[in-house]
Amino acid sequence: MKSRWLLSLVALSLVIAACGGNGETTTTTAASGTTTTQGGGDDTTTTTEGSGDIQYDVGVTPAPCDDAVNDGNGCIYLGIISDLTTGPFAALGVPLTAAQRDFWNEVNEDGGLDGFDVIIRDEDVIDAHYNAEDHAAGYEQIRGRVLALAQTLGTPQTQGILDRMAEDNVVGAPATWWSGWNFAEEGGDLILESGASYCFEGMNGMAFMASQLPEGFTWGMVRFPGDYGGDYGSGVEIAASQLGLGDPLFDLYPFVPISAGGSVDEAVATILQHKPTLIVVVSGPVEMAQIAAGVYQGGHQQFQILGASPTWNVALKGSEAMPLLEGVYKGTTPWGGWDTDAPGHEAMRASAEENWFDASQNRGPSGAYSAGWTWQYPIKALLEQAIASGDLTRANVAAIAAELEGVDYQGILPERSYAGTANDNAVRHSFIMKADAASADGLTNISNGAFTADITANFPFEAPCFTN
Amino acid sequence: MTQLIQTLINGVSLAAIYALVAVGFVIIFKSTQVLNFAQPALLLLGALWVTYFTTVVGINFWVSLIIAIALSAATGVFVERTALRPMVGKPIFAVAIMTIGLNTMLTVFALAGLGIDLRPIGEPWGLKTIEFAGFVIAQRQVAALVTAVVLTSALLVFFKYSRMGLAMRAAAFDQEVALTQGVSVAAVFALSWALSAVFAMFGGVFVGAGVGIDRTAAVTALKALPVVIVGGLDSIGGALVGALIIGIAETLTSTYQQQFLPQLGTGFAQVVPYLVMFVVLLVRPTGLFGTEEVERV
Repeated sequence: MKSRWLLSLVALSLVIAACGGNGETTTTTAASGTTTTQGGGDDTTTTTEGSGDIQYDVGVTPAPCDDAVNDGNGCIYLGIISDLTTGPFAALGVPLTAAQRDFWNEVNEDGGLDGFDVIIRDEDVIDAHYNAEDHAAGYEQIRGRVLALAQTLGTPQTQGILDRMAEDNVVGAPATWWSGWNFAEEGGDLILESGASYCFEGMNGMAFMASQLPEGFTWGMVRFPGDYGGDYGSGVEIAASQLGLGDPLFDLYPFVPISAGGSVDEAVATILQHKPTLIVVVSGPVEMAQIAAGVYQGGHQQFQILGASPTWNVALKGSEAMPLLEGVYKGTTPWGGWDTDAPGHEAMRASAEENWFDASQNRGPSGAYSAGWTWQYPIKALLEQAIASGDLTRANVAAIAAELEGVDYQGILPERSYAGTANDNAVRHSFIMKADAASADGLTNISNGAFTADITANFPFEAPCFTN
Repeated sequence: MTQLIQTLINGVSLAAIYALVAVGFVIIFKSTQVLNFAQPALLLLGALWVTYFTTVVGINFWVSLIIAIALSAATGVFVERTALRPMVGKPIFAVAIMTIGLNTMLTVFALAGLGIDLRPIGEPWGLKTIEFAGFVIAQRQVAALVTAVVLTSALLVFFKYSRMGLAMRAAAFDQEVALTQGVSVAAVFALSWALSAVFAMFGGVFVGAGVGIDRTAAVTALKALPVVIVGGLDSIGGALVGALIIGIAETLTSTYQQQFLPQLGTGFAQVVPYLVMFVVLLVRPTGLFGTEEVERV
């Protein structure tokens, strides 16, 4: 009788063990140590064991990665939550993701990071369709198996998971340039942004255009909802106010994206009513090109467009609108174009060519590929410093991230620090570009390299330019 | 006044695109009684064929257009044979739901082909304009209008004077009676889908004319639904009138709403087609030119 009870108990234990889902404890016996990791979803922290001299927990194994480039190395797992198919930024999310995988592949081929390869597995790449709920659900899927996020696309989407990232001590590189990421109280300690924010881009762009256009020029704005339109528009308004340019003739905000059922007709009609000299466009590339074409065909042919960096897509080079855009489009970008002569750009181009230099594979000369690549440098510096400290636990990685210094962008951006206040460490320069069919990505720099307007340089950066 | 006339010109041009897609809806509904929710996907697929042959294969736009007409027609026939034919005799509601599923499947296929970037159509009009009586008109607007008028007129002539057109009208009137008169209802169904897909393809070409086409283009096809509801589901003339009403109402709202009713916010013009549809449904549920259902008591 006793043995039947014992057998039943064992069977029950096996059933319970088999049914374990989130929060299940798994133990990995590794070559040089044992790690006990906690599955995603529960708030229990991990048990930390040593691997040689390195401590680690979630998202790190002393065992090599699957298909490891360096068999003797341990493995660091990174995750991505992006828009890969149906959202408004799918045209950006795909090359961003390709670039980030290529970046780490290059790192691994160069021997990895002091004994570790870094890998982004297929199962750790989430297509969240630019939807906050899908983004949160995606994070739940991968939170128990990655050390950090190589990409989290979208400001509200990222804000939606910040609490859980903080709970898990997960650091991420954003695919957004919201000015709030510079501030610790907005979650910025966990978010390693790169380049100038939309807000500073807007300031620089407006100041540059003001220096080029005749005195007394008129202007208006058309901008997408949310942080993108809000932040960039705020920067433009700050610059206009400080330069004494007056109020915009119109400000279509929020302007509904075509992917959300919108149309450019209202924007075109409004612009044609006011006929401004300068149209500030904070939208996607299709909307920008359709607005330019509609305004031109509507009879207003003396105008300039100032576009935020996401308004450009290399595919516009093949568009019937390209000759027009070559005459009217000026855009701001956070770093130089595809052909820039810098070691980082050179490495990026080489990687794209090596992996598949073909625009249809989204590894062609695009701003999105550049962005995906550039956003990985702070993560690389962070992992290197964590490894050097002998502690790759999430808690230590997050602690280093908050005060990270000495991030080397290989010349794509100047070396930067995340320590100190936003006013101290924010990147303030932009590149002003014009449409140019002869250049690889369709853009040529017209600001003689990096451009920082006096307004931007002296702006007291004490709070995000825009909050929802 | 100049602005008003310019707005009306833009409205008529937009109406031409809506009409091309809406006529496709009507052709299928008239002959098969099916409300075809797969029209947006047929628009995307049609545009995909054109852009593929002009930009990837690199052949002349007009040759590409002819190939795309053939491929669109074949797609329509294929869809009818494989998905709709087995549904003959099933409740209309079930068939309509089936077309929603078809729309999803075909859209996935079209999007895979289109990719994520903007794709140029390669049409000859580009951003060229003409000036007429002081008004600037885009050549693509003229082309859309001419195409809609020519194709719809040809369709009406086909229905009225050709043997197959007569067969289609007979099948639309009563399928069983048509069968007893020797009409091949199966051929009528297949031809309806082929014609509908070709009309949608032309709609897609003009949606993408100028700047290019991307995955958001199918949104335009959804506007054809209010168009056919307003005009009447079984009336080609109604589809044209409905397209004019919706196209002009939308452009007038786009142009003047910010001026006169800024309280409604931005993007209100996108609501207008559905608002017009709502009002028409309240007043005349069969649409302005739709056939009223007669029930024997």
